[in-house]
Amino acid sequence: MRETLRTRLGWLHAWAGFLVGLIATCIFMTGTLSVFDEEMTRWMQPENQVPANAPLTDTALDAAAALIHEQQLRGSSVFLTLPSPRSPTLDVLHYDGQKFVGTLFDPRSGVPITVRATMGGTFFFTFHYTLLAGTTGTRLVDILGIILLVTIVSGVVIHLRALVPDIVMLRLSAARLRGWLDAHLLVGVLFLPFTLMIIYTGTVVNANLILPATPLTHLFAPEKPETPATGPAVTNAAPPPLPALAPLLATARRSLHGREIGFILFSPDRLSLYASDASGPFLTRDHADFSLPDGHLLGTTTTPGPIAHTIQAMHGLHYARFAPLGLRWLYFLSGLCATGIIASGLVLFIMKRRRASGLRIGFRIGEGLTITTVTGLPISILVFLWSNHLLPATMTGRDRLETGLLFGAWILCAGHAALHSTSTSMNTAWRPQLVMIALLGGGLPVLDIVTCPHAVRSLWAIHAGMDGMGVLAAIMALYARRQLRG
Amino acid sequence: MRLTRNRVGGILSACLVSYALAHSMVIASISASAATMQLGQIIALACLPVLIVLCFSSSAGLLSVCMGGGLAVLVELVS
Repeated sequence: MRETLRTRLGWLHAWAGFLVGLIATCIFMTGTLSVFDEEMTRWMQPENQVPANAPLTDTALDAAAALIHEQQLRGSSVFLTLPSPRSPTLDVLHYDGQKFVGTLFDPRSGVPITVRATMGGTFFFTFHYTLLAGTTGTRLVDILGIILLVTIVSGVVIHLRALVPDIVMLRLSAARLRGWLDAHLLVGVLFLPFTLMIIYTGTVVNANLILPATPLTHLFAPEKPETPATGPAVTNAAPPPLPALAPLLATARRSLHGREIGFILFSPDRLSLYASDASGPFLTRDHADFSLPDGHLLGTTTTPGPIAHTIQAMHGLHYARFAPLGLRWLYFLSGLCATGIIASGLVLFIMKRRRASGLRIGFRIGEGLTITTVTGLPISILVFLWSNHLLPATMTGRDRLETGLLFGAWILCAGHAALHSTSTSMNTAWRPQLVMIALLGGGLPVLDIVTCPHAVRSLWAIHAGMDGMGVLAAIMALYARRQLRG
Repeated sequence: MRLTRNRVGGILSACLVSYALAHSMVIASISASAATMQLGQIIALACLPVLIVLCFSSSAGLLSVCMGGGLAVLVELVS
């Protein structure tokens, strides 16, 4: 066979897309859900029924400050997040090695709110950028991002001549392979700008991990053992009491040009009030520092300059924390379509090779992994949501059990796909898993209404959105199952 | 089989050469300030996928990226 640019890049697009696509689908799916991470946490903690835009009172700030001082005396390192329209509680949090946990206060009364232990939407956010494997996972996600960009560039080159016709070509009634290819190209072309932007800005966020500013020779040099610091002796003096926070908030807002304050960090001699991520499209870490214990303004720290602003804009575009509700939905829809591009690419890869492969073991493993990713992950996410509402709210270790059930369901889906990989038709593996998505997704509103009727009434928009996503997943699964029958 | 072997070899060498060039862009930008280093990373990350595809697409592409890399190293050594 004569090797042309198109065949060579077609091979790269197919194989790079398939091998990376298996994990990229998971990254995109969880990233898409992370657009509504705060709302998901609220859905998963129905005990928290504080309405959006509840006013923040001095009483609540004093109650939070008292708890912070108490925890500082115990040697715990805590921080305070301020209420926002998406997360209206006043939270005193610390990191427990896996997630941020702590006490939630009602911003109106300062009364602590007892909520069920759950990772909530944070789980999807953490999974999205670390694959739950810390820095190694983040580096892997970055590398996958670059390979995805390679796949997109090669895909654009091979379809360059037909880019415009591809936008209007969707022949679902044609041969099944043709229909899948049309759908892949149509969505791929329409959402190309978003997909490029989100992958590129995602890799820029952790650029240091894959393109460190260290000469390559230094990267492979053995690490020197850390020498103990010879600074001044650490004093065990008790931390001073905190000043009233309300006046500091007003001063910080003025110092940061009217931007809202997102969170407060506490150190032994000062406290730092950081601008909220939602205060603009530039995601900054600008902050105002106040001395302790008198609360005197020490100064503000900002990062000026066009390069810093470019980086902040890229971070802001990726995290979309500034985005109002409408734009957030657009992000969600675009994320769903980007996930669909990758998933349809996986299915196309399998369909194209089914006949030629002679159902060899490698092909069967590939199809099993595709099923585990495309249908197994949605099932396990729905199991995670169901377990959140079904496990007793006061049960100890329920957050770990929820995560365990998610992975348990995913492993079961993988096992199911592997079992069916020995049969001649893999539709026997796709169909039951699609039915499972339809059952779990379609049943989500019923479960929500039965288990948390008060929360459904008081926070109907959040619950309608989440339950609607379940129903949407069910409809899509049923449609896909119907197409398999044909 | 031989075609596949060539392609796998091609993509591996394309990745290595492109990464080395992208990394040299970052290293070249360190000297000025932390901000320019970040700018170097932004540009290098944007170029990396294009360089990989360029390297893989033809031997002329691989050669031009190698030459570009060599030039970048020379400029770095001279300046």
